[in-house]
Amino acid sequence: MRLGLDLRAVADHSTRLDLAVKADRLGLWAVLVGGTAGTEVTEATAIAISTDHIHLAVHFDVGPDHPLTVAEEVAVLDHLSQRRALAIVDGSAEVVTHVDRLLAGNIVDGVALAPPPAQTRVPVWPADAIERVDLSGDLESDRQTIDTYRDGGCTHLFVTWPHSLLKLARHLATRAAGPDFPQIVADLADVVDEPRE
Amino acid sequence: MKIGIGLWCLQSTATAPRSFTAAYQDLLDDARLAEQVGVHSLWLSEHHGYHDGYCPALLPAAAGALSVTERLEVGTGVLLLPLQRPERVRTATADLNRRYGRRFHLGMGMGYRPGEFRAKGLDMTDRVRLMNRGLDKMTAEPPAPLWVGVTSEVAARRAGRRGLGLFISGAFSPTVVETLVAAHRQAWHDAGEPAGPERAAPDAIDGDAAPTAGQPTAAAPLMKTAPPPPVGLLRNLWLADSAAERRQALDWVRSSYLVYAGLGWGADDTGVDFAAQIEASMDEVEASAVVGSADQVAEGLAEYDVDLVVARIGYDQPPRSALRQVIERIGTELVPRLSSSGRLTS
Repeated sequence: MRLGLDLRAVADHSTRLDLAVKADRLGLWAVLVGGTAGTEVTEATAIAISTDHIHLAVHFDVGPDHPLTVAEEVAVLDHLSQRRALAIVDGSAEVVTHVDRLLAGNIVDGVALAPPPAQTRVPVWPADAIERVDLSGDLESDRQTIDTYRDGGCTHLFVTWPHSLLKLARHLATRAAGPDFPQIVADLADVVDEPRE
Repeated sequence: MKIGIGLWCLQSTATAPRSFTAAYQDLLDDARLAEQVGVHSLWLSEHHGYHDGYCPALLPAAAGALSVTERLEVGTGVLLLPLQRPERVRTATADLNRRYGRRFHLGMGMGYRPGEFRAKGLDMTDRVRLMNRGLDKMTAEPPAPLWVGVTSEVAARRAGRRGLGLFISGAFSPTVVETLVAAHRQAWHDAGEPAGPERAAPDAIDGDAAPTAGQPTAAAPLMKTAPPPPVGLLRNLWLADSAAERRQALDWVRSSYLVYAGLGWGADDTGVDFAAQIEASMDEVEASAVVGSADQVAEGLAEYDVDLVVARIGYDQPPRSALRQVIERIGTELVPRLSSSGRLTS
């Protein structure tokens, strides 16, 4: 299971950007951003420019917008970010399918998406299908939460996290990766870091 | 007069196929270079569902260029407003300007390809109503300096009445440009010289202090000192010294209109035979192009009474090295030769 950082509740743009840069450096899988329609994709673009590897999950509340508009913005983001876009689509099943089919290269209602995205297939996930949890910051209980999601078959989990991202990456992203994480490694890494903190 | 560069369309054309990802990464590099050499602004252009990937989403593209720069202004020349939900465009524009120090300019146009309207579930015959509805939304609380792309006197007057900047596209002769500018200024004057959004207080972005564009009576005390709304002019332009270089540049200008022939060909009910008229269009474009040394180009631009010239250099044929070189020359040679006394405040 891979962990992504949900930044949608972080109010300040510069804080979101700072957290995304740290998450990128620490190897987290993705950040999740949202916002008022039209600003979510520009937010993701700003993060894309300041990061190198992290995936950019963008929550689109499609509302009255045309699915083609959303697909076009995802395609442009995918080129600007060099294949790191991921669309979380909040809309009817029909709308989600419309966006997904356009991004997959299908001609929908006589329209082909131009340009196509950089990825062979941009992941398009319905907003109500993503797994997310607010982690407490208490490592003991958060380990159990992570274990429960991982062992329950979750593959990608978005989290909010109240402490340093290093703790999240060291103790929980590692633990999420597989069922046999040797906890002693993370604990000893904390000890090694202690004199420097 | 300010000098910008355009139009970045992010295409992979039949004449010069390339990777789309490379096109978008080149945009970022070009924005950095333009800023470094002192160019005022970089302008993007939009179409939808066109085979060469002509950029369909200008706001994220603009966000990219703004993210990699600190002083360069970035504009849309133009965003096709009837094809977008204006509330969405307005919100995103306000957000971009808040985030990037008011460096974003929103240029808006109507669009002319029926297929683009159909793709968004719209009817092109409704475009004037959609445009006006969109402009009403934008001018009620202007989120940025606003420009309207025009090709006719009617459209120029529409922009002038609202106190909006004029963005003159294409290859019009100096005489036609003069006519459009005159129509724009006269309409602005007749409407009571409304203050334009480019002079709106920064607070207006948040909606805290809505300016009075379109309400000449309320704004009357300020109007007598307010200059007319700015005029921007897109011009085919290249800096070249030898006769061979000039011929090469003019050939690039001519060939770039193949893209427009394709766009027109796709617009099957415009009443214009683009294939038959391509040579005539190219001749017209060549005649209006400003190509030569920095002194010659500066002299050629001096005949236009405009505030901003957007050098149309985003052709698909020149090698990257030539494009980079002309950006550099525009910044280092042309910008210093032109007065900065235009009405643009930035």
